[in-house]
Amino acid sequence: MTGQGTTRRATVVPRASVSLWRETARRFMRDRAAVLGLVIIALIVLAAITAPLLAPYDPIEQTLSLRRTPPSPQHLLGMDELGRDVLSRLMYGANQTLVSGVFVVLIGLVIGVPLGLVAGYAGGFVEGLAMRFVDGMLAFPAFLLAIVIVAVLGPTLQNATIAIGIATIPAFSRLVRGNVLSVKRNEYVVAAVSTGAPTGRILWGHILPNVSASIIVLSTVQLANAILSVAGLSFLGLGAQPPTPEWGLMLRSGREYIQQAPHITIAPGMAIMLLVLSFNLVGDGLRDALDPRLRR
Amino acid sequence: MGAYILRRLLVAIPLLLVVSIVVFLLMQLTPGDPAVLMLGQDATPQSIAQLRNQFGLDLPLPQQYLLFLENLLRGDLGRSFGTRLSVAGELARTWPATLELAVAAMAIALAVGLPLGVITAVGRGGVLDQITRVVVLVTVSMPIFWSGLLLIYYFSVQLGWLPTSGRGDGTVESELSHLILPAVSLSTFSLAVIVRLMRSSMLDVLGEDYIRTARSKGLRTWTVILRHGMKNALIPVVTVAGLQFGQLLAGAALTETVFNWPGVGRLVVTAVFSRDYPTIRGAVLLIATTFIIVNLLVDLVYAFLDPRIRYS
Repeated sequence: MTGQGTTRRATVVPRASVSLWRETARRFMRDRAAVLGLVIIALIVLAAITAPLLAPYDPIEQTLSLRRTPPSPQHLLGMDELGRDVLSRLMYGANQTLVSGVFVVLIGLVIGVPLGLVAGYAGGFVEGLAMRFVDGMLAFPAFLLAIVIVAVLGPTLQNATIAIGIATIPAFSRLVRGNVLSVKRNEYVVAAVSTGAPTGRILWGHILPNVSASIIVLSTVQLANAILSVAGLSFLGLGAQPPTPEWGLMLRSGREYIQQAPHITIAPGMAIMLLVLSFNLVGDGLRDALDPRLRR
Repeated sequence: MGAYILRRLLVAIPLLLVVSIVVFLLMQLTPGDPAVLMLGQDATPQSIAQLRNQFGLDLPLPQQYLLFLENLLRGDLGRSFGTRLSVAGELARTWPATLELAVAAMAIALAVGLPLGVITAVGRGGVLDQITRVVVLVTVSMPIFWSGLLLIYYFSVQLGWLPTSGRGDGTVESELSHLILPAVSLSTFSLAVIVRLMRSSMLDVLGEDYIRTARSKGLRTWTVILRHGMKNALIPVVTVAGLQFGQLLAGAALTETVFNWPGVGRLVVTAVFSRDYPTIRGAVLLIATTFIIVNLLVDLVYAFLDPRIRYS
């Protein structure tokens, strides 16, 4: 790729990059596990979007006489500890989980990527400052940092999302900085600098596209981690609050009844695992597709 | 080696200071007057003023920080807003439980993860490798609080083999039986990470020239793998194991909640609920400091295993 960039004229670059993505997509589609992951994610997204239309019951409405009843034809996944339909709560909960997961990654991207780009490109004092900031954050285990931030902001799903998003920043900035350090030595960057291109355009037009592959892979993996962490905070009572249908919170309230009604905890746990597993499969597939040398 | 250790120590000190500043600011950033939090809503202005004076809350921020640091160095972490007990005492009571859990989990992760990583690398593409790959993928995708609940359901409720929660009554037998499920549950994620890394690191090493040389000398396969391969393959695993240990300490908040394990993680969670900032502060400080020290130790082990590091 480096060779192409330096020998061809700039106008050829878009076509080259389109074929790169097409090639990646082709390799990705050959990875059966990754495609399966993508299909599961699509189904869960569909369930989340169509929940208001397709969910069989209201996720919050209680039928006290049916508390903790096991799965039946009327209630496919049974009823929870307050007599709410578990399937409906799962469908609505998918929404909460996906949205908060995406926001976590967005926070990491929006703050972490520019931080890493600037630090890696500028070097010197700016890099030192940015990286000490990141090191300071890394002095805390990520989940602990999230708990600390929730302690300041107060326990809500929104705050849990922000907290985990902030704890995700170091992963992005470190990855981007590392990649920028190697990309900026490439001839096409040196050439752009020597023609007097503004720094912004060099970062945006020449460096970012060349680190985007690893950013995409990291985003997918971080999305999986974000879902686990948000559910974890909700499980501790530090995220979503009742009666929100959120998967981690469903596990929290169902755990009291694990002896009499295990179905209340099995369903949301299974849902979290399936979604996280799918994102991990897609992440692995993307990594292999984007960089075939890494395949083992 | 001496210079290297010194350099690493010099990096750790500012990090510890950063941790202390963050933890100090925790209380400043939270809405509400700490004195009111401590005394309750119906406290008189006089008693609030008195308390603010007593704890130095009326001093300028930098001076408050120095006071905090001074107390910290004397081992005084203040008193819990909730129980009024000394935070240092509370931590001394709960810390051994968390450490015991995290060490046991790490021991399980290493004892199972390292050999499994080596075996699957050597038998790459075989049945065991395939099965391990799937199990590892499923394990890293499982919320540890959920796998904990499933373990309780199966081994405690269904089979009745092990206790559901708590830490035991002090006898070795009871303590061990209480430790098994939470330790296994907490270990799963790190175990999966270690297997995966050990396998790929071992595969890298097995492709090296010195392994081919050792083989061509006619050494037995397992001698080559264990003596020449494993030591080199361990190097990247050591770093990750260190990082994982820190994550275990933080993740223990979940496992401790599931198993009612009386550790620091559960202490933090309850403290967040009751807005008991001195306790949160002390616990976070303790965990973060341990994390930094463990990473420092890992760096030293790393330098010992790989002499190239010392001279870079």
